[in-house]
Parts: sequence; structure tokens; C-alpha cells
Amino acid sequence: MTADSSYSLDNDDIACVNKTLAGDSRAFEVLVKRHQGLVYNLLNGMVQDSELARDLTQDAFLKAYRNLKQFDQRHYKTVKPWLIKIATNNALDHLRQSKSTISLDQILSDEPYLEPSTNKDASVDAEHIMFVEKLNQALMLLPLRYRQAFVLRYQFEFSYDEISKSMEENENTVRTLLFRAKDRLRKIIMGKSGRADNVTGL
Amino acid sequence: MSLDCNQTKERLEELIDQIVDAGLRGKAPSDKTYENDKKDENFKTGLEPSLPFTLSRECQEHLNQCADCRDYQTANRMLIDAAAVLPIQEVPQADLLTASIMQLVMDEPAYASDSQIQASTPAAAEVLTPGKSSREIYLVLISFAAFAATSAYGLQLDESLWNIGSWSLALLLFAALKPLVEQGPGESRALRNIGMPA
Repeated sequence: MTADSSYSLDNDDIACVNKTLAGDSRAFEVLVKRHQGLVYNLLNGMVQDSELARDLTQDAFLKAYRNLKQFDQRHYKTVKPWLIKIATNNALDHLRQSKSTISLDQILSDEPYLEPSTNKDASVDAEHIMFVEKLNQALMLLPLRYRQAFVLRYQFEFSYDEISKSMEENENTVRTLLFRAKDRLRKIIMGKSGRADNVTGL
Repeated sequence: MSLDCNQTKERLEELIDQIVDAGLRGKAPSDKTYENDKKDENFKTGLEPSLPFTLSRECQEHLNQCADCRDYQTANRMLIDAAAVLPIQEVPQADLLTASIMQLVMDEPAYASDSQIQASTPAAAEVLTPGKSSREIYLVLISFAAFAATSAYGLQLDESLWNIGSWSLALLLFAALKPLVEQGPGESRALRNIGMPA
């Protein structure tokens, strides 16, 4: 099953929604192809299990299809935050049911490179890569809402408006979440002082 | 007038927002390092000087004097730049995932408007063609003839009794012919299934 070539990448999401609602299921396939990577990555970041993230991605799109008539174009403006809201709520429900947790000790013991490096001879590129790794791991230590806000804003470059609609929070709350997320990340990665030179020896 | 720490940090946050919104992270020259940035007193995050994202003079003055705010600036910069290059995983077997999602979607009832049902369903149009409906008309004519015949006899006998009898006979006749009407044109069944999944 392939999407018809008449649906170009320029064909916007709202048009796809309208076509789907008019009975053209192929238009929904365009939405799936366009956003499944984003949804999968966000969910994988939440559940840390690629197979489960895949299943949850599938569930999310099915729920989106079933609830397509409830999609409020005037409120959301674009499909992306609405999809993310459905996907993350679905994943949160799953996490609540499974009550999976990950502890700081576990991560530190599994990933020894999380410990602050003192190797001042390492190249800057290597240090940068290491810092990205540290950030990736440190994100897992954040509360989900902080992590979600941070990833949406700084990894996927969502606007504040899009994040607020994805998370069903107002923009001020989103700003607070982001501020706290960065504060915690600084403390986790760079130590309590939050000084950058505690991490990479710069 | 110089800014205090809170005001400076607010300005730094605003600057980061501008850079993120403009999608300009990671555009620094490759030889630009964090160490160089730390020494660089103008917080341009490695961007070209012509770009409008620079700090105010007051903010810069505060940064020159406040090590804490400079650390805040550098640490935030590192976080935000690193976030831009956090690994994005390829969806394993993305085509299969798309296919499985679409399979589930196709199992759902399709969305369709009423006007589309009438316009796009061949069955709906065929039911209305004279050839397909002639059989039903023929059956109605037979039932009318039967009713007329019983009515003619009814004029010679007790009227109330024959009224009841003729109506009962017509009803029985209609009931007997109804299955034939339904089995005849298959399109009638197709019409009932419009909107249901194949």
C-alpha cells in the first residue's frame, strides 16, 4: 500500500485531514508517513523501548484516525501538536499501568561515562559528543513533563504555542517547565554548581 | 544602567528563544569551540555578526562583571546546542510500520459524507435504472391485479366479509412476493452496505 503520488510533501496536513474525513483514507497515509518518525522518537524517549515505542506509535495513529472528527483546526492550527498530545497521553497511560521507573543509580552504573570526565586531553569534538550523550542520559532523569517540554522545544524546535497545545498547558507553564528542565539538567550534568567546566574540563 | 542577574538571565533566555525559533543553532563555524565561546564576551553563539541576535550593551556589561551569569550563559548554550543534535532514530522498518498503521485504519469504518455516498456509489445509481426496477414494477402489477380480482368478487358477496378477505389475501400475496423482490436486484443489498468497510 503506497500513498498516491498526487499527495506531495507540500500538501499540508490540514488538507490531508479534510481529505481523510471526506473518505480518502490514502490522505491519512501521508500524515502517517510525515509524522511517524517524530511520534516514534518522542515515544521511544519516553518509554526507552523501541518495540514498545513502535506499538504505541501505531496506537497513536489509530486513535488519531478514530478521533479525526474531533480535531479542532482553529485551536491547533497544525496537526503536529494534536498528534503529539494523543501519542504522549497514550504513552503516559501505558507508563502509569506498567509503573516503570528508572533510577539515577541504575543509569550511572549502566553508563559509567555519565560520571564527570577529567580527561582534559580529549578533543573538543569528542567532548561535545560526550556532552550530547550525557544530555541524552540526563534527560531520562527528568520528570516526564520536563523532558517532554525540553525535547519538543530544543530538539524538535516546536514553538511555545505548539508545545502548550501538545501538553495542554498554557504558555507560561511551558516556560516554567523549560526553565526548570534546564536548571535540573545543568545540575545533573554539570554538578550542583551548574558550572560548565565541571563536565568536560573546558 | 547595568542589569541585575535575573534581568540578564531573562535576556539570555530571550536570546536563546530567538535563535531556536530562527532554527540557527549549529550554524557556527566548525573551528568555533565552547572554550572560544567562553572567552568570547559577546554572546553570539557562533553566529555571523550580521545576524540580529545580540545582547544589549547593558546585558553585556553585566556579563563582563558577573562570573555566575557567564557560567549560566555558557551552560545554557551547551545544553541548547547539544539538544539540537540529540540523536533522532530512524524508525526501524518504517514502511512496515506505515503499512501496519494503514491496515488498522482500513479496518475502521471509512469517513464519507452523505453526498459522496449518493454520487460515488455505482450501486445507488444502478438501482434507479429502468431495467433493474422493471421486475419490481411487474410484481406490483401482479399484486394489484390479484387485489382487483378479489374486489370484483367482493361486490357479489357480503361486503364486510370480502373486504377483510381481500385485504388478507393481498397481504399474504405481498408477503409471499417480498422475498423475490429482495433477492432479485443485488444492488439493493449493496445499497444497505454503503459506508461499511469492505
